[in-house]
Amino acid sequence: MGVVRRTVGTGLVGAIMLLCLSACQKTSAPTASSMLPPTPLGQTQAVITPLPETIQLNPTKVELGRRLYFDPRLSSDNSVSCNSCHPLSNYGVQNIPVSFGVDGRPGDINAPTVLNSGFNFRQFWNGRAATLQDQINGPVHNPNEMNVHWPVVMAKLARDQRLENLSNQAYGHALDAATVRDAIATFERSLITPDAPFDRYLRGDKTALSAQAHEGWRLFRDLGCVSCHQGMNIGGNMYATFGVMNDYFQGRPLRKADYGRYNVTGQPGDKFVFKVPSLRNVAQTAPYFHDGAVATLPQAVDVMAHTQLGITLTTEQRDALVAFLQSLTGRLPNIQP
Amino acid sequence: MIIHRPLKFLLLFVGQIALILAVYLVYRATGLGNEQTLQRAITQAVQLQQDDTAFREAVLRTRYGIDPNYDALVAARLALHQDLANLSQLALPLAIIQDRRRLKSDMVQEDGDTENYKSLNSTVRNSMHYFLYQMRLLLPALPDQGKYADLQHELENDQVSVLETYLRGSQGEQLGNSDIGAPSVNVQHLLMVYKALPTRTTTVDLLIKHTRILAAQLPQLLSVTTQLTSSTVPSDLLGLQSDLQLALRQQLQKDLTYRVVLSALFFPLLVSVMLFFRQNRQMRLERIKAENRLKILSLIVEQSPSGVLLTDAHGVIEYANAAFEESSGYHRDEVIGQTPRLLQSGKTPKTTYALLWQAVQQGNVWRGEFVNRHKEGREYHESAIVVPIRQPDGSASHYVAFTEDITANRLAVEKIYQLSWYDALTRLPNRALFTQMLEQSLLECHKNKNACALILINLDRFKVVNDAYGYDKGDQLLLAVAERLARDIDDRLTLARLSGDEFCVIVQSQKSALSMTDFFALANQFALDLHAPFAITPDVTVNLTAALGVTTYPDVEHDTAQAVFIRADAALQQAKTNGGDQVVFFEGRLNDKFQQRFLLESDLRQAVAHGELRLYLQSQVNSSGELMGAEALVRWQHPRLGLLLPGTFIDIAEESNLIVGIGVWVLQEACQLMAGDASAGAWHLSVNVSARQFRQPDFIEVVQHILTTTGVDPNRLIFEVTESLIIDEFDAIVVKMQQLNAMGIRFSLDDFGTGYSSLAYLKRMPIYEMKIDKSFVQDIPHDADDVVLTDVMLAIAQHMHLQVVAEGVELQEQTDFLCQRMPEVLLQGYLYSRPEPVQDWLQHWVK
Repeated sequence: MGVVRRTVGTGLVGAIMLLCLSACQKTSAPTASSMLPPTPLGQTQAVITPLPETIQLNPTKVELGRRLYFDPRLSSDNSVSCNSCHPLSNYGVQNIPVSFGVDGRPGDINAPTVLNSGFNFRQFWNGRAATLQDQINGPVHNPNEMNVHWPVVMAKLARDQRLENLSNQAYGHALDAATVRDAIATFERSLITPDAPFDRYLRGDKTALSAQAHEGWRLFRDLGCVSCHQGMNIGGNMYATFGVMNDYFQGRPLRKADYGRYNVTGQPGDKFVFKVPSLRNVAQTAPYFHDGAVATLPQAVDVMAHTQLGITLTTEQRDALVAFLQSLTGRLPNIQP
Repeated sequence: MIIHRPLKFLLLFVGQIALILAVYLVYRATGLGNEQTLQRAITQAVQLQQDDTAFREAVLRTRYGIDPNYDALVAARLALHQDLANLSQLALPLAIIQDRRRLKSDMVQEDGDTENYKSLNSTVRNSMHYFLYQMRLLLPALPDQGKYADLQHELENDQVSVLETYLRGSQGEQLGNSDIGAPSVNVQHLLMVYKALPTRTTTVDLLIKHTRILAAQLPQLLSVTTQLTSSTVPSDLLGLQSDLQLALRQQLQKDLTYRVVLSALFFPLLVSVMLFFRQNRQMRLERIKAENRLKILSLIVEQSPSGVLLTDAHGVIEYANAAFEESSGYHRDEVIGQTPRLLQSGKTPKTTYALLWQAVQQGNVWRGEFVNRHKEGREYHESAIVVPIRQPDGSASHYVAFTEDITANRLAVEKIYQLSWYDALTRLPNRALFTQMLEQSLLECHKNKNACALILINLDRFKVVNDAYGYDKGDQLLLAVAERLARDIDDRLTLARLSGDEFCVIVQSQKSALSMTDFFALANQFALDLHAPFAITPDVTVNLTAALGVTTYPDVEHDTAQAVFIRADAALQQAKTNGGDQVVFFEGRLNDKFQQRFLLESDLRQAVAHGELRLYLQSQVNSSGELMGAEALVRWQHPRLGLLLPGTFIDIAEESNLIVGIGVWVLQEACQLMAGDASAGAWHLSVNVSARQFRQPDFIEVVQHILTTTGVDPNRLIFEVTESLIIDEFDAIVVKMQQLNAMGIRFSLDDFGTGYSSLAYLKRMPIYEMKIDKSFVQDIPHDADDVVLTDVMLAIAQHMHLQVVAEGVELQEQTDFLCQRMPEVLLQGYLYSRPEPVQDWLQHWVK
């Protein structure tokens, strides 16, 4: 009821403005709806909720995690840190299809951003890690990334008195591999990007979106994008098949990484199933998809409409959706190496 | 008596063995570690059950689209795993570990199902959405003759059956029934019909794609949802809980046994001590050694964790140790020379003492329990062993009692029970207990074939109370609400508190079967009870209303507690959406809905004739609190349902044209009241006139007739109309209003700001007064939007020279705000007066 009343209240103010402009004019009925289905009914609650402004974490753990995040000693030849492939000054991505690990070896999948990753239900494109702590083992052990083992890393870090002190302070014992993982994970959880224009819109600032972005938000719901990209992280809470309506991989050779979750479970039904990625800051995290094969956001929107919804967008629709996605860019956390 | 050497060594040996055993048993007996671990595990198991319920609720909520995103579902799943991890960190008995392993393997299995469910649900919901929409575009576009008319008909049928499968499937899910017919037949048919269509448009292409997706994924969704809702995890959890409770009871029992054995072992030690008392004085060397041993043995008795009491043959206390002092509160100097009767509380059965004396006088050991009184007056539970010490001739020279304070154990068991099953604030059953009671009730319903009902009660705008008066007062108010609701609770009803401001009542038909009407009357009674003001401090009273959702059960043959709850919750949400302060029945089946309405409508037809309507008045006052007028309101004293609020019957009256008769009745009563007012006061009455009534061709004649017959002064009459009146036939309506104006009747525009609020119409209508809706008033001056809107409305009224009545004034600060901006504003609301029956109102206001 509150929502209805607000809308009417706004209408009332609008009515007064109309009265000032012209004397007695009947309000015209809304224009006939387009070819789009209306938003599914029954959704009285928010399908997308804003990010919290702040997050409560142990500051000493965050500080220890920050130092480790930028520490190249986590790689075999002391050349690669977490920040190498997930640079925080650039929305946690490098804007290249795949990142390069030790000895310049290319990775086999696009490196997703670390921003807001604490809100994802699982980690990695195929969701094989349940927590950020587990995720960290992945790149550390991967021969194409950091190519090292924890005993080696711990031997190198053991000489660092400052890290020792922080560990004692935060965990009450000396640094070990579990502590390193927990500290980095805690730091990553602190990397949130609140205050995106769309979040301001959700919090009640109706001027935060341009008319085009607002139309994009309507299309986002009406076309069905929101079936999967929902919740606080606008994605990142479920798996979906890539290519529900049309085949994404048509005409290109399949690589192992393309099989997605199948590589984890071995279930035939999990072929080409991936974690639905969060769309927060998506305008800043090109190129797109697990293979980084799509260079620009408008192209990515077209691919999604084709593969997931089976429709072809008009130019206006696509531009509106892009304008909406641009409104999802939030405030970067202020982190110095 | 002389103790011989071999005997002495034997005694020494036995003494030492006893000492070692004693130390070991003290260690085991104080093994509170195990007990605490079990208590923690029980807390954790209760948490698991709560999170599991939340998870299964989230599944159904997302399946129905009540939750539009999966965040709550994901969070509940994470919480479950966290609970399990917490439980895994505790060292528990083997039986519990087996329960936990079974739970874990079931949960891992279910993790896969959960992920499948989310993906399938998203795809299917999206495809249903497209399917229904594209179908709506396609059907009217088909030529409506020849074979296309048949095609159209077939498509319509297929569409209905797909929709039915989608919805009926959900019922199957609730039932935990996996035997659901797959919709593939319809779908194959649909695909054939598409091929027969005249053209292949984009619409048809999309329809084909989405139909194929539905064919493939809808049956999968139905089966995975069924797996999730009929999961074995809830029963695993119940098993875990009952095993934990059992283990805790066994542990407490075991502790007690150890202590009893420990006490028994002290007995030979004590005998040794006494023997040493009687040693031959001549054996000096032996005596020195003996004294050393005596010291050790005395120390052991003195420091024993069990209470030790030594009496002579007549029961007079000769010795008491430190543990006895501790548990009884008496210093030993106070009890030596007394008898243990000093400790009696009167709660120990008389037979206990009789049996005790009987046993010990026959030379037997007695075991039992006492309820004793501590020196400070409180009672404590004690387990005791009493042993007679016999002379060579067989008669008892002394009695020794070993006692153990078991009050803490008793309390711990009690407290765990309270914490697990009862709400800490109101002492009402909590959600966990409620769920079990509902399940129990369902079982009984199935057995007795009686209909039962679940009533959910959610306080409207309770958050405002917390914000305005603080959480302390909020809690106090919740307690008062619980007490108020409890007044109506009899042995058919169970009241529970589910969360913050949500209560619920399980209505159990026992001997006599209850009908829909009875359930409605009950829920209505709860709603009315809450209407009386609550005094939270001597000078602050709060007015509350509540939204109530009701469902009956069993709804189907295999109804589940979860399904019942979801239905009642859906009704509750509807009641909230409608603005609260009302009872809504779950309208799962269309028939019930029509039947309910039909019954109420046929009763309403009789209401005027049978004199069941009641006139209520709510005062309108000026800024100094002086009476200026009142709004006439109607209530219906239903013969079986009790007093009904207009929200329950006005819609039915509107739809069935009965509103005309009701309106005439109210007008007649109001006019009679004013005409008969001996004080001939200056107050006016505002009477609501519905659009339907106003449009009656003879409306003006009827009004004229009432004015003439009652002889009332028309200037004291105000008609309240809403904007819906003027949507059609604007000019004709205005003419009618002007005619009534000419007779002296004034008009008030009700609910301004909530409808079209067209200023253009407002300008042209002969309006005297504008009423600002309570939805604006209730949040000023704290809600910036409402402040602005109210300001705008006041400005419009001032500009157009309209009188203003603000409705729903509850707080002084609202009055202050309004009067500051418009000193001549009239105020209507609980701050000044509640709607009251005519006689009460006259007494309070006119005298």
